[in-house]
Amino acid sequence: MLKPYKKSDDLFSEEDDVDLILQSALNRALGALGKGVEMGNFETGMMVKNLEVDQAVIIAENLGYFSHDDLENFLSGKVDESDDKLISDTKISNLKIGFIISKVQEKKPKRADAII
Amino acid sequence: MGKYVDFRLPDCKTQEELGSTLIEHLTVNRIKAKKPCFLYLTGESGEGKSYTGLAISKIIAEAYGLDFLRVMDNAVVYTPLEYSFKLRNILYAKELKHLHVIMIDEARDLLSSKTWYDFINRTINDINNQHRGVKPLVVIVISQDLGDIDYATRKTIQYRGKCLRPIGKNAVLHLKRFWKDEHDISNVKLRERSLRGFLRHDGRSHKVYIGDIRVKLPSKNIRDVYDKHSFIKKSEVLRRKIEMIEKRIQKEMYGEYDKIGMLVDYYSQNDLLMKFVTVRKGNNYHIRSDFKRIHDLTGSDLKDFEERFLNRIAGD
Repeated sequence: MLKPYKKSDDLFSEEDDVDLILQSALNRALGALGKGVEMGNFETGMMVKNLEVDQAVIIAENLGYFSHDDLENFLSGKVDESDDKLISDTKISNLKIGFIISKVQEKKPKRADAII
Repeated sequence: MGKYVDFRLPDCKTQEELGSTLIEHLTVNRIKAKKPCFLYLTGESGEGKSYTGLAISKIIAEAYGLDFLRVMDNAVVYTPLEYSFKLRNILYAKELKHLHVIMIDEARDLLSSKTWYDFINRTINDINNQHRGVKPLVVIVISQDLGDIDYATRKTIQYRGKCLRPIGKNAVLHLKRFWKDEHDISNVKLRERSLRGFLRHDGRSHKVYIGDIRVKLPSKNIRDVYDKHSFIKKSEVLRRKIEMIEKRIQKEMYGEYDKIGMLVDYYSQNDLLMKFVTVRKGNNYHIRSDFKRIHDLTGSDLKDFEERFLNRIAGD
């Protein structure tokens, strides 16, 4: 069984300056991801989880963290088609969240000092 | 700009250019969009709050094509006594129609804490009510800390600047944006965050947050005019207060009292009051030249005061 991500609160704080809507979507998605696996009822768990993860993907895409093609290219090189369907869904969701997090961290704002 | 983005700046070649463009975007662009713009500057005594306020006011005045030195006296409220008159002038005087900034200088050293607290809170609310619909203004309020304004008034402020001046260096301004955290609608909290936005560089927009804003000393002309006016206006308030004490003592002592002794006692109470009396030249302190005129002293009175005052602060 895949390990859920560590608690979302530890991943993003206000100081990370991730857009607030994305931060909240990611937190929800990460929470649901862990919960889906824990519940054991994969069908219900997966439904909640995929919905939340897809929302986070759409928000991050719209905020310009990556393009849809970037995500497709990334996934095509990572997902093993021979996996069991349910496990594969979990894996895809995990990968998507991992991808968003890496893109967010890449795009972390830089500090600018000024003089007046 | 929006809720999460404070600015979108063009390519700036130097930090100076970034500083003035940033301040212009945060303030002038806001009032042009008919949005309120209150900036609250805090910091301990001597950390460079007033000079920071002047530097910001200068950028705003110049954005409207004004020579700051010429309008400075109209834009700066040195003491609470001048506030109503100056605000009315800025709002209605034809010759000041391009002046869009008012700076309420700290006058805590002139008033009791309670009076200063009441003045600051009343003033912010008053300006909020008065200037809307008449003329958009950037309002800069200078005070020692955030506790000087109550919670309801704090919600009307957009930016908070904290000033720090390391010894031997220029003041540094940490400018933050206030925002309302409404995640829990039954418990709305006021929070502050770094200024963030986009900065154009090498043909691309980069997401940035603002770190330190170093504040250069204003030009000598501006400093001289500010220091002179500030001293005269604030001394005037102190003189009135001393006259009141004088009258009270005269009444109790039937005219037999030591005026010089009373002045020495009054001005040696704390550092803030001492700066109204002394000026440092090298390693020595001298009594300021205006002091004699302000308190209507004779030459021998001044000499007597100088001797007793300097002895007092030297711990004699």
